[in-house]
Amino acid sequence: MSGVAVPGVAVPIQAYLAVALVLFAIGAGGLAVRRSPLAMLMCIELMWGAANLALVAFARRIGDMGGQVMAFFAITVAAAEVAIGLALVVLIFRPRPRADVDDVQELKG
Amino acid sequence: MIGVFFVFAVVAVAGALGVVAARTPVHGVLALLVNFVGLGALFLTLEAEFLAVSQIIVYAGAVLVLFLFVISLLTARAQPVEGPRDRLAYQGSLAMAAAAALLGVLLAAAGRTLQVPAGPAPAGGPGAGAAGLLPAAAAGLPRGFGSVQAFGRALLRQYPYELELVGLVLLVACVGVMVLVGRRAVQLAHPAAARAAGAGEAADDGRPASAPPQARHRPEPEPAGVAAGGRAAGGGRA
Amino acid sequence: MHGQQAGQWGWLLAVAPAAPLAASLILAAFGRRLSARAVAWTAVTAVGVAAAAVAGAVAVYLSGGLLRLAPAGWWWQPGSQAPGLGVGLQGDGLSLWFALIVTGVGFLIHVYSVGYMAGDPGFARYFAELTYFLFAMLLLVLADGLMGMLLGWANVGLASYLLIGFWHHRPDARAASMKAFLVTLTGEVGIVLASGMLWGAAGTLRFAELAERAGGLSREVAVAAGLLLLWAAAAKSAQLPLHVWLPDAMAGPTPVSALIHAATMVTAGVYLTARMHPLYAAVPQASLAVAWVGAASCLFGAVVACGQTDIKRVLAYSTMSQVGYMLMGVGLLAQMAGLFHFFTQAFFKALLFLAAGLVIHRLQGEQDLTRMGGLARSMPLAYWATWAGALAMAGIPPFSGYFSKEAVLEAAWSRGQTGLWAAGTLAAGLTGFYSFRLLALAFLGPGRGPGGSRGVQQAATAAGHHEEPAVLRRAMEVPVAVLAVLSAVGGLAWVPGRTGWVPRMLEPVFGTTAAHGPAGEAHGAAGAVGWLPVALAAAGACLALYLYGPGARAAGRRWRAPAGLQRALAEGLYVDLAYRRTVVEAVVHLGAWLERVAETVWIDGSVRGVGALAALLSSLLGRAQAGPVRRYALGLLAGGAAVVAWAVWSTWSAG
Repeated sequence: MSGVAVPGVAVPIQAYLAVALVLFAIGAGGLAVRRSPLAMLMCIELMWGAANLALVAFARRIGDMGGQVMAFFAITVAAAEVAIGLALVVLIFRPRPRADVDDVQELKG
Repeated sequence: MIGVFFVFAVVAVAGALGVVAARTPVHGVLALLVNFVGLGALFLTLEAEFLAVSQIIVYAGAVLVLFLFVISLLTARAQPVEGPRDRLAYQGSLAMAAAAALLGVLLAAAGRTLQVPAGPAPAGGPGAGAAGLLPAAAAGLPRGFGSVQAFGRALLRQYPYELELVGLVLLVACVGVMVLVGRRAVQLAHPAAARAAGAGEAADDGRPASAPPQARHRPEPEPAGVAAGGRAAGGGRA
Repeated sequence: MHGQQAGQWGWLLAVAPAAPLAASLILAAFGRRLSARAVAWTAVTAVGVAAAAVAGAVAVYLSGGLLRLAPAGWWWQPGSQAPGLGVGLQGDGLSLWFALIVTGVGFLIHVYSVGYMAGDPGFARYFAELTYFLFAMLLLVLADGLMGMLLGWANVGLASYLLIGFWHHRPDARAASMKAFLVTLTGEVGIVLASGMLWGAAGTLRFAELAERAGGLSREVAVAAGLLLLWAAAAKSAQLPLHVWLPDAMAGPTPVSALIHAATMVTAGVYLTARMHPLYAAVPQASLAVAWVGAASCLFGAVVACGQTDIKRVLAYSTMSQVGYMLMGVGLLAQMAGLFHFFTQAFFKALLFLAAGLVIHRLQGEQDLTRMGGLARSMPLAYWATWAGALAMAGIPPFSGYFSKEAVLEAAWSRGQTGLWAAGTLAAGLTGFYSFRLLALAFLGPGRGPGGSRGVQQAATAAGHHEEPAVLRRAMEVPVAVLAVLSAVGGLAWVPGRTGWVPRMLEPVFGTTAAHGPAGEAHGAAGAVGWLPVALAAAGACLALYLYGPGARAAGRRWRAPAGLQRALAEGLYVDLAYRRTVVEAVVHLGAWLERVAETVWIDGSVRGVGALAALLSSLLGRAQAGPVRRYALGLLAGGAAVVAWAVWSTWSAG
């Protein structure tokens, strides 16, 4: 009924899930590949978004607004996480010659 | 409908790939913006209006700007952003393989989970008829599903305490950022700390890349004016 | 009426052990800060309270009440599922009989100790430990089940250990305390094993319920439990073959020897076997084993006592011998006879020890009989007290020992146990000999030893002029006098043919058959047989006086035993040596082997191995945490994939 919904061929939820999982895998892989802390944080953002997409898709599937609310909470927490994460990045890499997480190994066992 | 979905799915995935592949952080931020726009559109097709809007406003408007601020803070000193060569052997290919494996098992799990169990179809559910298919916009969904009103009702009536909790999380995050960076800013204003940072940069150049960080940092003279807390916060130099 | 009295007066049973315990705790905590006078008053008052409580309980009992203090929440009780395991107190005739002696003689000996231990740096510690012993002993005899009795049993063992080793700067005292503790500990193992068997077979450890169910026990269980309890009794009561600790235990202070190692604790075995009389009544073989162990120890102790030169060791072996009489009586199911002998022995043995203590005190620690002599004139009280004790121990009528020993021997004769009777009679003759040998060597004739009579006399007078406060001297002399009177007239408790204290107290517990023999047989019917032990004892006494008495040396009459025999007697017939050659050396060798192999290889090896393992694991884990954050991210990724893969696989394989 909502005005935004476009009538047409129904899209299977598997398609949304597939997109969400692909995004998640890309983010996860990027997290392990990239050495820049900023890029790693961005990859984490990708994973948040993928998870949100899956949540919203499931909410639509079972007709419960709870999923959307949960995704909203996830966005909020992600914002907080980014704020803290960026603060840490500034704190850690500000005195260093370059922003490379491999340089940060002081805490190793 | 399916065409819209396809287009924005491709946009989102392309943005994600751009984030991973970007050479400079600014390009990464731009790719992330593309990804967010795609995601927001997908949210719209799923009748999540409020989420779509907040995705654009919160992420694209606030988070990405924050990223840009940090980039401008860091890259003033930290050029190039990444070292020339990966010091962890096979890290890239291993990460690709692991990500592919994760994708595979996740897809398998999703396919498995969404199969309707054999036997009588679940009665009355919105998706009872067509297993796995999202119901058409008009069919089976509660009236007003996905509208901002419905979202607000669900948020404030069903999840008020959770909302308060999330607000608390945000507050803690704000305070945490102030504590972390605020103190750092004070120390950076201290001339001795700034000098020590400069000395560290000089000592770092020309060292073999594989040398452990302690070894690299050990010859550095102990900065006289840096407090213990400052040292710990500055990466725990030995 | 009984129940009412029990409810009304049951608290008396709790007061009896609680008062000495309180005194012990007070003295242990604050004894160093209290004056000697306060310490003495605390201890003596507590024991007096306990004695009064027991006397009150006896009065209630004699008026027909059976005191009981069942666990009712205020006392430790391990679970309602096992009511037979609870620890309560009971005051039947047997328990009160022992409690009376323990508190009565204990009171006298506490008073005596005030004088004897005066000036000792461990004065407060001594009384803390002595009152602690009294608490444990009262718990032992007043407990209403094997569980509580075992608690008391173990605690008297600890108290005995502490008091034997009281002068812990002396190596012999330390060794003796450890020896006594270890040997008696083996007996506790016997009690624990027997308790387990009885608990499994009868489902209870309470004496009253055990008495009801003893007849229903299978023969094997009854025999095994009876023999295990006999082992425990022999260990505690210094009977063959576990007597070796008692002579060494004389390293403790003399009042301790009198109270613990003569009058009370060593008779715990007698109490145990008497208390378990329904069990022994059910299996005559086990009962007879008790009697034979008693008879053998009786004879053994008497023989060895004849050859000892240390005054306290003579008394120690005589204790072993006299406790043998008691066990003989109990084993013959003539429990009243055995317990009567316990009663009289407590008096005359404590008396002999305290008199010996007077001598040792005066001679400043000299215990060697061959260096004494001629003390009769300078120590008249000790002299006459020893006369009374020796006459009582030898069983010369009308002194107390005559009646009780006769009761035991007549029980043996009337039950047709001629072998037991012969052993007991022979031991009676030897008793006469060693009693008067002690008397003659210590008090009669000229002083012996290097200093001669003059040296000893001088030492005695020097000590006498030591200006002891009169109150302390009287504290030692009054108990001796009281015990001398009791030793003389204690036999009146059960004069033949008349009822006395003994039947009134004990008949409700054991029944009339426990008196002498089959019902109806009159006391003294044995006629000439009954007088034979007395005659032998008198002959032994005369022989001892003849050989060691005044003028014996002058007349050249001093008989010298063959050196081998003398040596064998002095060495206690080599039992200790046999133990040393077998058990002790085996244990020492085992210990050395364990130290060499187990300690260094197994224990050290395993400890070091654990350390090395931890180091190895940490080095491996440390390598896994070398610091690169992206490796961690990769591990996270792979781990997540593995978890999801496992979940998918498990649902697929399940569905």
